[in-house]
Amino acid sequence: MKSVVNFFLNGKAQEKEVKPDATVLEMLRNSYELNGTKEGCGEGDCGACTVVIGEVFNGKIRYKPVAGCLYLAAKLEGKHLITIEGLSSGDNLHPIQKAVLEAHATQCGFCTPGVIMSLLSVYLEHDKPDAETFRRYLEGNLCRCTGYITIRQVPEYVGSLNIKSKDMRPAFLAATEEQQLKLASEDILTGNGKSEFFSPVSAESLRGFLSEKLKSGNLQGMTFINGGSDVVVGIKKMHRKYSLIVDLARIESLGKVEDSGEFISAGGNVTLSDLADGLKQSLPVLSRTILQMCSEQIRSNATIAGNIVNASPVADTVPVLMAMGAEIVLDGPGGTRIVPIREFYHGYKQTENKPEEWIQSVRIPKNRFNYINFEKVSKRREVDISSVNSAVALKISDGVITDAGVAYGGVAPFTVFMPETAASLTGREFCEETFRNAGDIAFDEARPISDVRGSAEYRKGLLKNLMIRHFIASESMLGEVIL
Amino acid sequence: MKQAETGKKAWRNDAYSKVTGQAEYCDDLKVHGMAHAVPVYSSEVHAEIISIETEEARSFPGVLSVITAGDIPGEIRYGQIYKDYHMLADDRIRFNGDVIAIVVAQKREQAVAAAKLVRLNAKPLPPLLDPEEALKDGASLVHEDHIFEGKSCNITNHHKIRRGNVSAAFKECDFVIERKFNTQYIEHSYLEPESGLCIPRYDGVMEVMGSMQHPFSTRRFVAAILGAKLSDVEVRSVAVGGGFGGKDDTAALVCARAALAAKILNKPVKMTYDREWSFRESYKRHPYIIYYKMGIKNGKIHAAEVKIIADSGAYCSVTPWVTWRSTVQCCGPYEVEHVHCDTYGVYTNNVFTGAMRGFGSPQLNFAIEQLVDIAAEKLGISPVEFRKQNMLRQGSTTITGQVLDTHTVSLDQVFEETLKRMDYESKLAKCSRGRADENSDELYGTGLALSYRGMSLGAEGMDFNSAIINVQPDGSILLEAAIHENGQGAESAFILIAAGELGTSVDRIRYRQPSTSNIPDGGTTVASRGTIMGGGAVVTATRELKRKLAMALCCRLSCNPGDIRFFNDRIYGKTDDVFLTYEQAVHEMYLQQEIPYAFGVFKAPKVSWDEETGKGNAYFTWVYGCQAVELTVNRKTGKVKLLNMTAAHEVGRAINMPMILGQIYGGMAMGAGYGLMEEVKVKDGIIQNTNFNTYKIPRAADLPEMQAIVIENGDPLSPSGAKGIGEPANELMAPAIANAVYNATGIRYYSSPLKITVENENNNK
Repeated sequence: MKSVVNFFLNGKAQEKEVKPDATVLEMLRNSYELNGTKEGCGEGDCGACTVVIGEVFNGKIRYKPVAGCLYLAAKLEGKHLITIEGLSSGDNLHPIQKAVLEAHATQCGFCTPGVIMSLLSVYLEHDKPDAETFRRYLEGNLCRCTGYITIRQVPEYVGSLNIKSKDMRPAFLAATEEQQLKLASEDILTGNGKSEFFSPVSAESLRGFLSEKLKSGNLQGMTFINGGSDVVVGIKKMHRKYSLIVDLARIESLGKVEDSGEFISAGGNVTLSDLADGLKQSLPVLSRTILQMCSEQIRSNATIAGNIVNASPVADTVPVLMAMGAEIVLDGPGGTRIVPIREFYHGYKQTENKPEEWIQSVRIPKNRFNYINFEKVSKRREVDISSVNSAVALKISDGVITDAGVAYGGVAPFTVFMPETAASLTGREFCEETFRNAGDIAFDEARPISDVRGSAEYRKGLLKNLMIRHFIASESMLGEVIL
Repeated sequence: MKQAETGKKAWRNDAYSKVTGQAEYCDDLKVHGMAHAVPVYSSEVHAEIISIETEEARSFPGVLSVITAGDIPGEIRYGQIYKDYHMLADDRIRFNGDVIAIVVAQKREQAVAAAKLVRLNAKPLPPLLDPEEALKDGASLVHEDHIFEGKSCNITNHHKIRRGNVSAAFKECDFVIERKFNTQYIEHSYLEPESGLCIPRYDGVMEVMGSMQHPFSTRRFVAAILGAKLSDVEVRSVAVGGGFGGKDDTAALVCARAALAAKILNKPVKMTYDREWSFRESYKRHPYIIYYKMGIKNGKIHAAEVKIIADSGAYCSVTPWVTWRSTVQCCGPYEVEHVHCDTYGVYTNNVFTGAMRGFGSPQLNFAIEQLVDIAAEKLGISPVEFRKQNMLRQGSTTITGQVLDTHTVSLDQVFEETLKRMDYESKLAKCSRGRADENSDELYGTGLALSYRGMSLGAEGMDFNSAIINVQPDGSILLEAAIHENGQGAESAFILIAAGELGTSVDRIRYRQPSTSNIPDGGTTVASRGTIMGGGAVVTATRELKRKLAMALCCRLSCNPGDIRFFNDRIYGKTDDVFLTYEQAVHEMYLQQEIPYAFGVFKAPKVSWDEETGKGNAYFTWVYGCQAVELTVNRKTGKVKLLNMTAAHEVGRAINMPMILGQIYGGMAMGAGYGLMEEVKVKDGIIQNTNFNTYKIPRAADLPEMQAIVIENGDPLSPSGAKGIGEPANELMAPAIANAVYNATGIRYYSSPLKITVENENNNK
């Protein structure tokens, strides 16, 4: 157990005591005087604070874009933090920087460092990135000046520079990677009694730590984090205080995606980004759903477990998991237990897990349904929070629905499984009429909420429409086996 | 050598610093001993202030001071037109973004925490939120001391156009179209929130740096709050992360409050806004209610009757100017013989509204360009044909009686180029009009919009600008103009213009970051006036410098002053073998005790305006633009997919082509946001969406490919030949989209942003 964080910053080893709630953005700007990383929104929506983080993954170093405003500095243990200042030395610009100049992709320039760092994360992980990859990695960077046309042209200019992919790597990467791979993992406990950050490397040491805590008092003011994106927004924007932040992200046993034939099991700290990639073949609907949520800077650290326990009524993964009848494996000092996700929510932000329990994994049954669809209603095509979302899972044989799961988000204080609506689909012919009827039943079964994203009445109307959309989408997929 | 071939060679003086992260924006600056200030808001929308309790906040660790209106040594109230903005609220809360106190602490987080401890005792008053209610006699008054045309009321201004005889003309019309349009609040969404850093200097001057687009306006606000002379405040430029019209009043207020704290504490104070504060307090684009009546006779727009109500919110800001432009341009780029227009700006207790890219034109264009399509359809002719029958041409007379004969009227050119590039008319024939192809739910539509736009301020205000050019002993050149770099590339444009005039490389010229203490007030960097006005001043200054150089160097170069030529980075006599380098030339000047320094002024040519009749030469020159879009609408989901966007704009002479293209692309993107997704939602006077998670601006994946066509007709009244592009690029895409959505779905939307109804919804009703 140690109290300092060891990491690398633009190739240089650092050992630092950090405050439990300090973000990478705050640390860079306030204690390193590295001001190229900008704050535009402070909640992970604009990408102006994008940095690249290099981390050990499956015995190698991999790089990902991260929203510096939501990433706690205490999470940097063993990682390599790369900022815009690390890319150039003197007049020697990085090829991406040259290309941005050539493409005239900077105007006011406030988004530019973040855009460049997003692009860097693409080139560090992909030899020949395709257009879809660039789209995925640039969707988290807002720009109000360029209309993105010149930004989207940057890869073309990079291409015209004829740079070998190894030369896209800043010179200091190789030596840093060697050092990163040699670092021993060790539990970290930073902060003082009032505010602590604990980052264990194994479930055993976490169980032990929490048992001690439970003996000496309660766990009030404690929160688990993985990516931390929701918790950090709470700290920074709602001024929430936590006496203890427990980071699950370094527990290796939570990091696996496994396919048992019967279940797909996603570990509690598997990032949304990894899950989206991992499920591309086996569960494409969830993969696509994840890629419609937030942006790569967030997905790179946020987890499906976080999406579940955060208990937002409009969490996008939850309706899919609920419709499919997924199960949550909880772990804690008292051992493990399994809870169906349909029984996980008890009220607004009220969940089944005890304060000392964390999600070990989410198990998704593979064989129960053969058609699954997710729909959301939101304003913008990408990176948007739903006002209402919904998933259906269906078993269809010979044109008849033999089993159905239906879940809606945004229509009640928590995502709800709708047994009556599901029952109304079961045993019926797979046709528009069936779904129209189900829409009417859903309309009666739901209890919508009103907020900034839509009134209760508006949401009720959407319920019916979403059900019909499920039909439209399923119809177009008919014959295609998704699971 | 970088040859300064303006219009062809692309170049930016600040690009290197921006791609390396070295560019310093206000919040990047730190000064020894600097304290941090944050604003305190209340939960009220409209209330009478009884007391503001600051004791608890004052005793919070690290807090240095809690400042309220009573601590202001100078003026509490200020404003660009009316002094109605309470820089710290003293008598009443007039909107939810009013600042009641400033908390200053050693650390920003201390100030943020202590701000929550300031308590307001207030008597809530019923808020006045509907601008049409606010216009009525007997409505409660937002500003009790406000008098307009001799009486207490909520009207900030009333602009008129009285042309011909509208009521008689409508009787002659073949048909009359009557529609009501509503437009929404828009947040500028500059990526950098407001920030100000104020340093009390040893010589008694308050030095101010900030994220602003009008240093001179900021200086006036700062001097007012401090009770200081303008010469006692020096505002310096730093990199600005976008403005779009939004960094005038609010940016100046942030600096003024920081200066107040710096003055009281006698130490440097920085005040940087959170995005949420910026959304809450900063002014927005005016929502408009437009009642429009358009009469058609023999295929011509014969008469128009327009009533415009602009919600100014709690403060006036520049509402009279914004709405004046709407009035002047209320019939779009068409000849109309009979026009009756009444435009009102009106106070309410909503968030205040002010300048935003477009400045009163996006709202009107949203109405006019749809009406023109509606009229064409009623006539049974193509909207292209109808526009051709009605549009302004060389020598046409505008609705304010201005004859367009001093420049090339290029409306037909931008129109034709767009039609050609898009193959528009054949695409128009393919529009779905509500009927999708079999096996498809995608409805296809294309639409376009046309505009003309008065350049610079026009009769809105005093319009002139100056530039200083100063050759150094080594031949290098310092240049500055009284126009501000907001990120658009103004400095680079001026360097290119000067290099072009002097025949030097751009490397020879360094743009001096201007200060309000060094160059005269040249007005604000708004109204797309940067290049035309600042560039005009740069040309005047360089010509004056060339005259001085020619006079001083002619003997040395053995020729008459008139024979001297400036090219190839040198100064030549009559023949190419006789020349001086700049270094030699300066040396020669110094020997003659002549200073190679010039000051140039460009005064906008005369304009005129009659408030009562709405007659006059409103602007000294105009630009013309056309934008078009192709899209699909999914008839079952209502989702709009933009397929491509095309724009043609006349810019006078192009100075820096890639930057012009950047303005056009960015303008189209912002226009698409206006048409389809952006809306500041206000409920009971409180803004509901205060960050980018709920206020949606377009992302990369939302936008299609774009094509930009730049048309050059050098303007004889602009010394550089250049005009402007910032705003024209942002005033057309929303109506083009509305027309395309109609052509796709057969449904007209009279409110922006378009909220597409889907077939299922209709079935369910």
